[in-house]
Amino acid sequence: MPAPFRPPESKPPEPDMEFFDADVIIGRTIDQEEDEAPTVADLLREMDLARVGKALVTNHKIALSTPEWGNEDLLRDLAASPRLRPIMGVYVVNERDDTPAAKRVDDLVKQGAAGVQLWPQACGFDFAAWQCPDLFNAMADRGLPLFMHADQTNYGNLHAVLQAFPRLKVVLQRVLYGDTRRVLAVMRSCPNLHICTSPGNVGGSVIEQLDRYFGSERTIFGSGLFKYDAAPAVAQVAYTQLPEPKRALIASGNLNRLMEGIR
Amino acid sequence: MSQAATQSHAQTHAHTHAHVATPRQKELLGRLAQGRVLGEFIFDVHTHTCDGWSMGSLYDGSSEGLQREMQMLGFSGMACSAVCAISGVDFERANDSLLRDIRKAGNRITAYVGIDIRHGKTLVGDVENYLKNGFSGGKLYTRWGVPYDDARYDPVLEMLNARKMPCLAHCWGGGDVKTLAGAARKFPHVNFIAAHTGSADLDVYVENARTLDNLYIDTAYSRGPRGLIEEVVRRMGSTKLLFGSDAALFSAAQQVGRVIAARISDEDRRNILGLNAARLFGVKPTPAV
Ligand SMILES: [Zn+2]
Repeated sequence: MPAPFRPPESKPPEPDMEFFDADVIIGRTIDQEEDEAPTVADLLREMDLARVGKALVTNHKIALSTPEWGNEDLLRDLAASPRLRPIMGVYVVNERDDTPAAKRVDDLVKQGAAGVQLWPQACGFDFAAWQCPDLFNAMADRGLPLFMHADQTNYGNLHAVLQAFPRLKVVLQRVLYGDTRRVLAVMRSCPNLHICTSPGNVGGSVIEQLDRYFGSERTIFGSGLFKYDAAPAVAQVAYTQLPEPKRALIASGNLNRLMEGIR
Repeated sequence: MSQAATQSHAQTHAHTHAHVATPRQKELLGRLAQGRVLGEFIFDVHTHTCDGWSMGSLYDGSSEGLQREMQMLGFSGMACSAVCAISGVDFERANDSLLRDIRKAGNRITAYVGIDIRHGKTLVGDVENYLKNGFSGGKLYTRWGVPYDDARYDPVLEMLNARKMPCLAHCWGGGDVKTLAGAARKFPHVNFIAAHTGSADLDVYVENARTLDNLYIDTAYSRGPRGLIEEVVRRMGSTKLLFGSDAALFSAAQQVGRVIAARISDEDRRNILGLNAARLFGVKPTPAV
């Protein structure tokens, strides 16, 4: 019979670390009953249980519908919740009118956008410099971060865009642990890339490895609610074997800094 | 909407929306957010040392690293195999290395010998030696291309059967689980654990765990979705589901967080986290404090 582990040296409980979530989607997925779709009330309850203080939130309608409909719902849903900020949708080409990209981005910033969520794979465009250079430049000018799931492009295209628009800040969500070598290479050559922690990006000690190579300034807590639970993502950061100030950067500091850069 | 549709919808809804967290679950969620020892009896049935593996240099795959994380979380025990013993890299070197590790760890680790079915003529004798020298279970892997119920496995599984030792098997979907169920029927004294519940074909995992006394399933899944553990418990109860993290490949903290977040009763959670494994591995269920 194995003997139990030696109890760890007792350390005083740390003050609660603030968690600021960079990866939440509310609203209905295509295969979901309408009244099962997670709402802001569901989100706030989950955040309280998992000890997440603040979150950036987008909705499925932005991927499935038009930015107008998606953004309208999102702004309405989040209006009463100061803990939540919207990651909004935007047209990548001038489809409905000739409004220049810079004006579209200005409008989003005025509406309180915390970033833009792009869905190249789902919405039929390429994540490439030639696809929407005006949009990328306008977002870089305003410091508005671009959020995207890793399965929406490939690492070659990601690398090319990051190199072509070095002031554009990109937050890559739902990275797969099997892609760690690709992630390390792109992060090395592109200081404008930030990556979310779990879900998917859960390789043992991956956060410590990222810190060893690049420091902890570009690793950002993200839960993947509501496809995934928040508590596992919180745990991954909370037990990371890094000094407390670095854990705090990952939990919330880095995302706070990105938000302060929006102008 | 039909009556039946309304009912099934209401049930699904209940899994993720209507659950009220118990005080114990709230306590565990709080500890999890603070990176503290969890204070439950937790036994991880699925861990690996990763030294020598192609992806292993990206992680801390040492047994010391594993133990450090387990200690932070307050796990009481874990069962471990060497990735390179099960992935066709180097049967002897990897099993030997794990053997040295478990001796150093003073029996804090229960070790599965990696049973590489393509190791050759000496496999049976080698496995027997490992079992005599400190290993107390077997770990199987599918990529060798030999189904788990193939007769080539019989001599080694017979050794586990005679010793009433457990056997963890990598499974990715129903095909693998079905062949493992075939082995479970042949060797009733081996408690088999089908890994990665929900990776695909959840029905097959649940059906076989429900109907075969000596087949269990584990929770290890890097992209385990919200509601999966609840769904398994709803369909078959909690006594055949075992917590496994797949650390050091995955973060053990993240994986145990999935069980703690699940909207299930405290009793079900305790079964999954460790009580079921305590019976299987003959361990006294004392929480690390
Ligand atoms: Zn494994």
